[in-house]
Amino acid sequence: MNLNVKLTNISNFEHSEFNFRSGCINILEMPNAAGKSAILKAIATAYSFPLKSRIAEESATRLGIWRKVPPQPLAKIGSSRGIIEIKANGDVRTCIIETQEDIIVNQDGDEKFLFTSFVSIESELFRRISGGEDSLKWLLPAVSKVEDYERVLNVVFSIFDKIEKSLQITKDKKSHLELLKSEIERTKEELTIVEQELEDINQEIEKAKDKMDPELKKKYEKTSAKIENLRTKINEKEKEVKNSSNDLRRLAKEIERHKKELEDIDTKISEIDVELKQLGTDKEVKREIENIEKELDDLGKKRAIIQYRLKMFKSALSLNEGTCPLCGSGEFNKNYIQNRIEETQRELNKTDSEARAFTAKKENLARKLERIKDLNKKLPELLDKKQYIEREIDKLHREIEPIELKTRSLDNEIKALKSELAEKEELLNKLREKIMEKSEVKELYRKIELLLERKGELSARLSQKYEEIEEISKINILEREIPLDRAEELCKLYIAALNEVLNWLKNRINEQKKGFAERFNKSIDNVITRLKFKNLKVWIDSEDLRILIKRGESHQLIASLSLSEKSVIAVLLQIAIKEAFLPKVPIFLIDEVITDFDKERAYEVIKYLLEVAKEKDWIIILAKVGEKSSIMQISSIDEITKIF
Amino acid sequence: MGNVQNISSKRNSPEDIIKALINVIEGLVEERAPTDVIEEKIIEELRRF
Repeated sequence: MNLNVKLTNISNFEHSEFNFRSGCINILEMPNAAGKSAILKAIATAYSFPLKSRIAEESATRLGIWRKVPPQPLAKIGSSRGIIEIKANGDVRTCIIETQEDIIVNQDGDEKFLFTSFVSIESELFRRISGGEDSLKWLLPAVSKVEDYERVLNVVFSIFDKIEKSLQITKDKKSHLELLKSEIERTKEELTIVEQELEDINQEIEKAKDKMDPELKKKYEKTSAKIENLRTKINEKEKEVKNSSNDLRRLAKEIERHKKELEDIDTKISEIDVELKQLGTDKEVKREIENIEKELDDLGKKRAIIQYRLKMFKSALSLNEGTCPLCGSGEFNKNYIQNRIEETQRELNKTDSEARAFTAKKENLARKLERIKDLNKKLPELLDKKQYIEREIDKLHREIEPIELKTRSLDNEIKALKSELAEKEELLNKLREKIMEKSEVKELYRKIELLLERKGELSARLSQKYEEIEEISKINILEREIPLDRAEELCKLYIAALNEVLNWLKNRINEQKKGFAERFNKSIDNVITRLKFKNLKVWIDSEDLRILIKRGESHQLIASLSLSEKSVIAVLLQIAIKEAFLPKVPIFLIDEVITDFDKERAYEVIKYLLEVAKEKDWIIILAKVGEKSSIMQISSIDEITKIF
Repeated sequence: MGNVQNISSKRNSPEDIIKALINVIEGLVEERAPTDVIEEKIIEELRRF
């Protein structure tokens, strides 16, 4: 397999092409600052973009591959766009690096490439090991789903907590409800006793009244009836006032709910405004699409011309050798025509590759345009909804006005009735005094007054308890109002399920960690065995993912190693990581580091890499500083010494 | 008045919820969903029961 890398306006390269082979070690030799790292970074870009995680973005930024805020570092300074084209066995990857924007790829790579397949002093693992870090925890989210499961675990925990709290509140409310019910029972019993006593006393008074003056008796009865009538009226009016107050509370709640909806809509509107500002106008995007379409059109025309030329050259081949295809006489060079055919074919391939990149960019812009259209459609919908809710609020306010008026008028009526009642009660008191002077009922009336007072107190207490029951009869669980009698069962159901889900998530996270450690340990063990480093053992702890090193019988910490030993360990770990976590992408890039080892170690590591390259048909590129620029292929062990 | 939800009279078992939640979570993990989306989807799923 061959890896063909074409760079246009990348780093120092205006138009350059490099070829690497699989099954051997490709030694990329260049003088300092000639751009060998840029070639490796370009390959890494093509195989890792688009980036999805924060750690990959940070790593790419440190490597000088990408920046969140342009200009993009890989593009040639002064150029508006750099292009990386990579061909390997029919797989064509094109990356367009828009200097002032972002990196666009025609096919998705895998961001794991950055952590597994590229070693340099700036690469993530090398940097961490050189700094004495002795854990591979950082790699776990990059090559597994642990971070995603942990994010879900935290959310499920917080929901679980909320439901546990709701269950506690439900239980508290239920015991309060029981208490209220027994208090109501007691109050009702007491009320029955008071009413019975009142009835008994009234009967006694009736008997006493029979003995009094008929004129006085008549007046007394008439006033009593009037008082009773007034009390009934006052009760009715007060009931009406209570209903009105309930209505007013309900309307106020509805207004509150609508206001909350309005706030949510305003937030959404401002979010859309911000996104629209970031995306630009549809006209701008359309213009960009038009420009790309024009470029594509031009490329189409260019392609037709190239194809025509290709056809002409191919047909020229069928002419007799020795005859000029233009004038039919003179020199005709078949080799020359064949060279032109190859050249034209390359030109055609390049045009196709450019067209693919433009098409990818166009698709990207089309998605952007769709999003803009979508947001522009949503915006008036939200504004309509906002207006509708505002109208609803106005309507509710208009509903409130007559109720408030009615309440005020009822209050006035009650006031008038109460004043009339006071007058009649005064009159009745006077009549009663007259009766009392004449009879033995004085004590009975005193008792009635006390009992009526007690009855009023008990009735008020009863209605207060009923109101409390009404208030605690519902509970909010996950933003839903649930009747109290159903809430406990529902909370318990949720808790049982979430408990199991939490266990399941913890198991998934442990499985991921364990799987990560197992794969890595198997891989590093294989690397060390094959390198015949008999006294060395390296592995990671499956719990805390700490890197453990044992040399002979003694354990060593990464931090205690010399800088060159750290480099060797970093390279061994990197090879093991590559073999464990991204073996399917057969490319491994090494920017110097190994050539800085002492010769013996470097020889062993390169020998091992050569074996891997042959066995797995990998393309391994080792960049090193040299006087001239060249690519040398090392295919046998005997050739390794050429490197040094 | 109020917004008391109709709770299904059908009795659900924790197993039904676990199955549904695991299904939702696998999808969320696959698409690397952010925290607010995870919370919204899990609550939405729980409210179905």
